Amino acid sequence: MKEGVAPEPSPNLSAELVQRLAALAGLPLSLDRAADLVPGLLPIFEGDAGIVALGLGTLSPLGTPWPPEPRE
Amino acid sequence: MSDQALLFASIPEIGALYRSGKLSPVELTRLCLERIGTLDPLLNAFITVTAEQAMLQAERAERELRTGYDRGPLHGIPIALKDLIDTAGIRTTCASRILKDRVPDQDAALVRRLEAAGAVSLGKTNLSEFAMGVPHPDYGQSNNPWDPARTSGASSGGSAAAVAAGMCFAAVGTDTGGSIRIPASYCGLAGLKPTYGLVELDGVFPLSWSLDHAGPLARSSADAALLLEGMTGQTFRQAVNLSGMKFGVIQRGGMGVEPEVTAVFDAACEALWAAGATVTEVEIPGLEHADAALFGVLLPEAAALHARWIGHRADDYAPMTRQQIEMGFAIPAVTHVRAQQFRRWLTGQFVDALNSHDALISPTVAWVAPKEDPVFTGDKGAVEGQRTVPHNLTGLPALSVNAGFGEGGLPVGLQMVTGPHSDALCLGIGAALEAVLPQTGSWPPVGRDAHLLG
Repeated sequence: MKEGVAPEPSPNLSAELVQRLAALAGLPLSLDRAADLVPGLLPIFEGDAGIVALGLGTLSPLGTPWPPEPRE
Repeated sequence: MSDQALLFASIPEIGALYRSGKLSPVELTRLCLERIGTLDPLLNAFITVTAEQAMLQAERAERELRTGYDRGPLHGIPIALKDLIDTAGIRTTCASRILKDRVPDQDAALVRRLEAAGAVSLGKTNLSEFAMGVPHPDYGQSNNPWDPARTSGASSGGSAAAVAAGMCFAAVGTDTGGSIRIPASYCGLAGLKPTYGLVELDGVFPLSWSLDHAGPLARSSADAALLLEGMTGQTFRQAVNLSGMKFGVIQRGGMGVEPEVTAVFDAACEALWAAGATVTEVEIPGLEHADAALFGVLLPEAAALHARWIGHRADDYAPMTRQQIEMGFAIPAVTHVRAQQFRRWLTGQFVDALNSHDALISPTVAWVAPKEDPVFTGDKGAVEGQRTVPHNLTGLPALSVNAGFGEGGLPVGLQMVTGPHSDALCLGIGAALEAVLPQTGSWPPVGRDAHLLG
């Protein structure tokens, strides 16, 4: 990993953690429902860890995602 | 010309018949409505058919054309709209129980443009619930005209089925991770996800603001260009000579790619060589992160959109739609922001590759139409969207055209991607490729074979 801190994927992504994250964002979930979300969230967090490893540093996420000048 | 030939004619051919007085918009609209009445029980392409309004629009087009008032290529052409596009006075359901009775007061911006261009809207087409990849049981899946036991694709499947079955001449879809191009591939159509921002989305119900695109589905790239012109008021006709063009191949193989898809794709590459183009392999770094980045953006945006309903109307969603929205609440803000950073970085990788190539090409989907749409946050969904998702992240124009047919007679799509703002070039290459591929331009047996109608 070049820089930054990535969330650690499995096995630390527990139903309890998903429940807390959703509650912080305003959605109360039962523990059973939170557990159902874990398998779908794991690859997203794993992918996030891969993006951290790219070391994108100060690259801005703002603006149109292509250069402002048309190529044609 | 037979009714069947008329229903599968190109938009310019219909326009020529209108202007020579050999066919009227009223006659053709009536024919399309009859076709919908016959085939829609099998294909489930439409949620709402607006027959009365369509006939009024057709009568107006006929009157105007007869008196010399010509609104252009779409004048009097029957089209359809995905049912998340607002239409004043006509319910717009998003194929959901949540919005099943919603009747907008105003037309979406693109609907106003299409009406000004004289298009005749036949109705609102079926989709996966809120365009999230899973059909709501109240509406069901749209079926594929090439094999009604299979899906026509998510999420613009109703639009694709309607066009492929000859119910209309073109239809509007939306694409957030492949929802125009995947149905286009499964149904043997041309489907364009335009450059991000080219088509105004005011009045189109969002799935994910920063990834959503609206675009055309049609039976050829040339017809798709005409619908895009109607949607934007701009011109997208560009003649392309394949000789001397440089194509870069990306994502030819990989997990789950069916041999019949590879065979059709390779044959298309050979056709490009034969036309004088060069075709070489290109490596785009970072594509393995595209799926995670898409959901790192899409799911939190969808969660914010559905926050007003998900808490107290959760049971009104299809189970997988509900689950995907709930997932969005559990994605941390920093994951979302990093995914947005990744989009800028990935765009740079594509733009670099396009500096030395006219277009990048790949199979559109790893397989032909399956029985059902895979859940898009699952393993199969990741494979289905592997080649379409990157271009929602970058915003570059991406077109799927029919490249031929697999062993079972089902269509196989080829996707091409060009530089920012080069939608006309993308459609021009699509038209040139369609012209050199021998099997394209044939249409499904549905409606011809009585046994398929059960």
